[in-house]
Amino acid sequence: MRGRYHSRISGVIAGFALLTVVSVVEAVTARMELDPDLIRMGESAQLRIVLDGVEQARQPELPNISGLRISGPSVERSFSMQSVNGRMVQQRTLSFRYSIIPLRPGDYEIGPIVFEHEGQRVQLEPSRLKVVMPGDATGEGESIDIDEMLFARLSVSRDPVFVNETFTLILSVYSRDINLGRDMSLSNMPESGLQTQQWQEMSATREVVGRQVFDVRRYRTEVRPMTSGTIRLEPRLRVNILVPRSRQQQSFFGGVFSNMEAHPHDLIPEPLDITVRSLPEEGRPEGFTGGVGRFTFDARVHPTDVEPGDPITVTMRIEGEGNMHAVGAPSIEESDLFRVYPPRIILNEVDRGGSRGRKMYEQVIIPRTSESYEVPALTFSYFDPEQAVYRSIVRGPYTLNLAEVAADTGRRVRASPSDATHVGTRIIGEDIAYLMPAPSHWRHRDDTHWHQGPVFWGTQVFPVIALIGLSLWSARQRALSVDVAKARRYRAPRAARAGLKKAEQAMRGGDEAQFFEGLWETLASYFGDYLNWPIGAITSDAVHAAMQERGLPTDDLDRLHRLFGACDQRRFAQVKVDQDEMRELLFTMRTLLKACEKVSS
Amino acid sequence: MMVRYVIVPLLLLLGVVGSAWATSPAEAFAEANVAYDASEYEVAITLYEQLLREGFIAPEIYYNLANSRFRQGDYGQAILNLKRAQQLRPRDRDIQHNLYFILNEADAVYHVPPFWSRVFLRQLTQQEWKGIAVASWWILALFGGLQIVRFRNRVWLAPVAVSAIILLIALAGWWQWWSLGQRPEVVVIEPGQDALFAPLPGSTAHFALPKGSVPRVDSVSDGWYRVRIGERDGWIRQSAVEPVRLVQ
Repeated sequence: MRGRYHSRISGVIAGFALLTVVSVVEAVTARMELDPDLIRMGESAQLRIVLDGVEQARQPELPNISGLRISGPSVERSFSMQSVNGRMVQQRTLSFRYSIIPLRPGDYEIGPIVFEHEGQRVQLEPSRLKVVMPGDATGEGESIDIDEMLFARLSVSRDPVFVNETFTLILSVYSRDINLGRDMSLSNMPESGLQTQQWQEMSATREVVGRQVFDVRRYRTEVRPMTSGTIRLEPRLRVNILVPRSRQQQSFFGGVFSNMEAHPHDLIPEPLDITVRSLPEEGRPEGFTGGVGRFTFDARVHPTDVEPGDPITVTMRIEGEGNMHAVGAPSIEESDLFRVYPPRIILNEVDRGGSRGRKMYEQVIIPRTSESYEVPALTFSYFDPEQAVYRSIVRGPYTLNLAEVAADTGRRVRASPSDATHVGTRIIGEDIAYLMPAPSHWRHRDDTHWHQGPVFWGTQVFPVIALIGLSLWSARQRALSVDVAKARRYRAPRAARAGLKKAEQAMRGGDEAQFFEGLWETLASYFGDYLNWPIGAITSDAVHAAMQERGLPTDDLDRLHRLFGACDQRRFAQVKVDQDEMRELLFTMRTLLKACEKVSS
Repeated sequence: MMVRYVIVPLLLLLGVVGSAWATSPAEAFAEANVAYDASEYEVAITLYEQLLREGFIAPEIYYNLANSRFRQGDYGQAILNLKRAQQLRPRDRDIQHNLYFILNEADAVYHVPPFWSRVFLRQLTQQEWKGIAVASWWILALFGGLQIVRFRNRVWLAPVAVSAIILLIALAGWWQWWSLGQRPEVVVIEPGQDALFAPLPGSTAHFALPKGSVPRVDSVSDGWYRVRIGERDGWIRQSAVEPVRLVQ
């Protein structure tokens, strides 16, 4: 809830006490606003002269008024852009603000004020200001009951009202010389029979009640009775009265606000009885759907140049104030002339309270024959609570330009509600679709297919097996890629194959030099990889020692020694050997390599 | 009169049926279509059903049989055969149109499966889902194998993911059909049926199941089906309905 009245910005808020508007010329509008129009001695009021559509003007001269001191003005300019009929229009406003301080109580009349602007005479009608003494007629020191200084009243905009009629309930809180907190709560409102919307605060005012000036806060809500009878409202309003703390209670660090403490106080307004009448039976139209309020209704039919079977869309629009939620559109009934689909709502813009807004409905109808030359009239009925009468708005009938359709066209268009919305589809009749031709391939129940049987399902396991194998192989490859010694040991037999092949070919060709070179390559590459040594480190003694350490049998160690010795003799002593000796050396080499493979590396 | 309306059609029926056994399925089918065109629906029905009894399975047979049943005014059998045709060819617009047209004419109610179930069942047959599943399985294995071999190169991860997603979707579609085989739809073929609150004759009726209605079976109990239409379920005698089931 809002604060005190004098903190408001005067001007555009509805409900200001005096608002005088004088039209000068088409381009310039002037008005005078006085806020508030009732003050106590020691308080001030603001007078504002507003010129719309003006950027520069001479300040108006205010008359001297005995008993009032008028100071100012301060000049304010505002500029805004506004869209009017799709065009951006500039809005300029020039304001002169005066401050008025009363020198003695009384009733004052300020104005009329006359001034000239660009050769035009502008006259503002007078505004009235009432100035009273503080505590007028109460008597200083006299004991005053709190109920005389703070009370609440309930009022309604209409009474009696009709069922489902929306009317305004106003709660006014009067206070005098009391500082009220912002928070208020209302309880004990009827739980049924009355639909109440959210409360909204209106502009604060002042009123004289029993020769006393009261600050008045007003709250309004829109209510709608659901049943007939008398509804009694006796709510309880809890307000907070702000009282300055005692000096002992004030904290050192506390600011201005913390120096006030709130005391809850319950206000019980006088009960208010609202008489709710039922809607009259007399004169109730046939198509009345329950709308209570004031509404407009319009309808449109499109297209009107059609042939039997063509869909026609009837669009209906309802707009207004009242119980919008209960309002429904009239509909066209199924007949021999028209096939109809239920109306569907396409727009539902209703405010939160459901008391004003607009709805749009669409209904698709299809002329059955060429005699469906007219869409029947649509009647929307509602109850006008202010005049207490039912009203009906009739739109149509709408003439159709129906083209004849040849009887022997023989077309069969499948119709469904969704198809009907496709404008252009000519729906002449409905039936099942015709027979299908014979299948191109005759399938028998006992036929077996590729996807049946154990072979098919057994085949599906193959990817699993393949993936497992690949995973194992890949894991081994990964392990070898990080362990060089293991990788070389793993490829040692393969490395030896090239040398063996070379020696074998040389043996067949009787080439001793090539034979021993092949023999040496075999020893060097095999043991180089086997022991993870560089080629330069391969010597008879080193390999002998290493293989002995790995547990190579003595016979094989002798073979190893012999092979290295034969290679050395050939390399350094050029000893001649025949083909039998070469074959025997090659055999020894193979035997040695097999033996080495059996030894754990 | 008797000769024209009883004896001639009877002889025709006997002659056509007798010849159907001796002819190929294509010839029998063509003869049935001719009989339909001549408004000899009884003959057409006999021929179509004979093809089915001989073990031939084709949506065309069920569809044409349904048309003949509809022309005879037997909405229940018409809807039953259209549902079977739809199981074999779910995307066919003629089958769909005729099914909803006859359901509408019969004022029958039918169980609408959940959205995803509809998506799977209306797009592909069980065999098609199975084919996609098997193909995506092999493709997944292929790309998976490539990814294993080239474990440092992640270029195959995207195809692996895509084929895995396709496999999952296909398995879901396959599973929907399998589920339909386990809890099949049934068509009410007896008129004036109600779903009861208990599997007992004379039990309180829960909701009406006009002839041609297509509820789905929830469970079976001693000559009764517990069937479902949307959120409502009830019991109906097995003899009053015919399962649609073609899928396994």
